[in-house]
Amino acid sequence: MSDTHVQTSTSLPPEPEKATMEGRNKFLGFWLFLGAETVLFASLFGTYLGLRNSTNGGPTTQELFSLPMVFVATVILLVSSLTSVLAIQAMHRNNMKGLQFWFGVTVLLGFSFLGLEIYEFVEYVHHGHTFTSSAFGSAFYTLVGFHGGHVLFGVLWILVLQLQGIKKGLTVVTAPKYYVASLYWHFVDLVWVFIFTVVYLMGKVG
Amino acid sequence: METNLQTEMEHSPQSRRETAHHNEGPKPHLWAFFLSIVFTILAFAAVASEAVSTAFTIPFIIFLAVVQAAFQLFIWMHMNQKDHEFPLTFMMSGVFAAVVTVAGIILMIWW
Repeated sequence: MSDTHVQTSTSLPPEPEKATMEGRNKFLGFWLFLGAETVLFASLFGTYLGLRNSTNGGPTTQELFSLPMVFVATVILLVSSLTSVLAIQAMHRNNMKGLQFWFGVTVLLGFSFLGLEIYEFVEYVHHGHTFTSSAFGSAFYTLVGFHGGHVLFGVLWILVLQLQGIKKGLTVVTAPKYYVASLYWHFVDLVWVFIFTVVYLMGKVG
Repeated sequence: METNLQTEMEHSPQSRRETAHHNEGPKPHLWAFFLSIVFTILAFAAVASEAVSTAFTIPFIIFLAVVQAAFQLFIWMHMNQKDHEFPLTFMMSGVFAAVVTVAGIILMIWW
């Protein structure tokens, strides 16, 4: 039993995420999902762009947003995207410890991003900018909150995979899961690039 | 001789793994990260400074965002590698529908 276990882990193929039909199907299906997510976020971006000046007498984008805080959030998410790449590279070297370490850093950064976002939303509510205060408010919280929901799902997903990894180790069954989770995390960061540009930076420009 | 053979056997899976992944070193990823940080700083600086005109800033920061998105997709998500024809098709269709969606919704609201 333990003998066969050792053998599978040392003879892990170069790209374990694509070694099985199941792994290749996960890879393909996940990219189809990401293509669909692109359109879903586009509808939220379109709505936000259309409604961002309908403030109903409440605070405007220029009055609300603070660039330093958004910059910190952006750097946090960018670094976490890099650490999830490093996790997958560790996986390709058959280094489970490295994979767990870099995914752990990714999860920590994900939680700090969420903490910052919650602080930001609480601050906005104090300024009278809520989900129901204006069309701008509804569009803003739907778009940014939906992205925050993706971040929350991402950190919980990676955390569960890490716990499973302690038990199951790195095999051709678990490798596609790590690979797909890291794709998801990159996509979440990709969406944030457009949020900080379209929502925050363009909101400051006017 | 015998020990030689043994070391070679021990090392062969590792070296094969490395040949299959010679394009998988951390270098392109670290470069993409460095450039993404630079582009992020540029975008924030363009907005924070009063000297740059609004008419220039908005196309400029959107251009920077598109380049950063390309880094994510093609380098970090490996879309530049082979066996990625389907991901490319899915994402291109997604981006096409996304552009039509954004343009359509904005025109509907503003007209």
